[in-house]
Amino acid sequence: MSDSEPAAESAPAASPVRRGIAKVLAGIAPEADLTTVPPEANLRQELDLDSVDFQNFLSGLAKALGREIPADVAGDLTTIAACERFFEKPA
Amino acid sequence: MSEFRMPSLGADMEAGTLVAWQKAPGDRLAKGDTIAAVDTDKGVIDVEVFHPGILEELLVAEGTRVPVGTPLARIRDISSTATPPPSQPAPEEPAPDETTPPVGAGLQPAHPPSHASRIRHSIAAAMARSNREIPHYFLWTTIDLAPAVRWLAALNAERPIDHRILPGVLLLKATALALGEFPEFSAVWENDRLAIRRPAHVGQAIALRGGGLVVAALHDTASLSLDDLMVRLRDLTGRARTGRLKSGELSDSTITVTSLGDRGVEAVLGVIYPPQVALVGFGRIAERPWVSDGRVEARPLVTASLAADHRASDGHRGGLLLEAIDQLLQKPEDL
Repeated sequence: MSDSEPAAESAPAASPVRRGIAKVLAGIAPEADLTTVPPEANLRQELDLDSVDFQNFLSGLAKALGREIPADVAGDLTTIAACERFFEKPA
Repeated sequence: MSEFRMPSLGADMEAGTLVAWQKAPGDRLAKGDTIAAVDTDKGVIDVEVFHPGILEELLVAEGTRVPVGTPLARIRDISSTATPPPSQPAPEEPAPDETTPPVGAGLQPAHPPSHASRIRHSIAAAMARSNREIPHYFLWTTIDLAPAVRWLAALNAERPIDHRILPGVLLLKATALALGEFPEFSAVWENDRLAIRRPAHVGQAIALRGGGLVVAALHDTASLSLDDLMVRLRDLTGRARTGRLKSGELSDSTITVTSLGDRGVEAVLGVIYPPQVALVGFGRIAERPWVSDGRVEARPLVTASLAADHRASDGHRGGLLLEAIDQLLQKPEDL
């Protein structure tokens, strides 16, 4: 093991929310590599999700994480960070 | 006895690869059963049978690529199973494309081109044919979606995410209902004759990941509730992208709708998908200035367009079709 490079501060152990996002997106955009998507990047633009994909994404996420998404919040959950903030906040 | 043949899943399809048999000799087949998976330029498709019967014999091995129209299996007519007379005349078949396989569409090389390049090739063939043969005319109009968007927001506010409806579903339903009054836009060319198709099966254009698109049919669109339509649209989109479409979904559309939702450009003027005669396009739904009672207001608007075949219809009727769609969208509660 080399001590010259800090072991590439590789992505911190994925949070449950991030794992949920990855799992749901695997069924919608299988070719997407989430590790290359910045947390604040718009997922719809980044992964070219149309409105039906996005609906499938949020429905899948609500199911996977066991939490309903109110209508007035849904439109804002367009980034990994926004999803983490919403789902990690106590209900 | 009837022959089950490699189906044509669109005017542009020349050949397909039998990927897997999903029934075995001796199996009983009901109408609509999936008998085989076929790899086409549009992805792997589940092919359905149109008549009940007993699968008698498989004629083509898995992994074989054959031209459209090639017999793949023999099916014993179900009505003749009690006393199967060996020389009974073939029962009526779902006319396996009167068109003989195109010349040169023989067996393909062992290493076929990539899926993406085959989709590209297939779209290129259909669209080149469309522009060469169809005298298109184009109309468009701006529709005020404020009532529809407001009504939908109130409806969705009370629903869990899984049951919310997208505005595109209202556009599809309004188009399908308007076609009831203007059936000549739900039609296909059959041997140089215009065949009007009722009820309309609206085909939704779905972009594929990695490029290309498919037109997937929503059967008898006007009869579906908004909830059913939403469920079907999500299912079709999901399967078009990652799973499988069924043969009927690829071949049965009688008109195409392309809808850009809440992203993309303001308007789309389509290229008609042969042998259809019309395509309705909806641009991005976005707030823009609208004049009402002499005042300028910001309202959610959509530009609806019609690309139609001038051999089949005229601009006057086309304009009335767009107007009918507009009027239906002003009363979303009736959709």
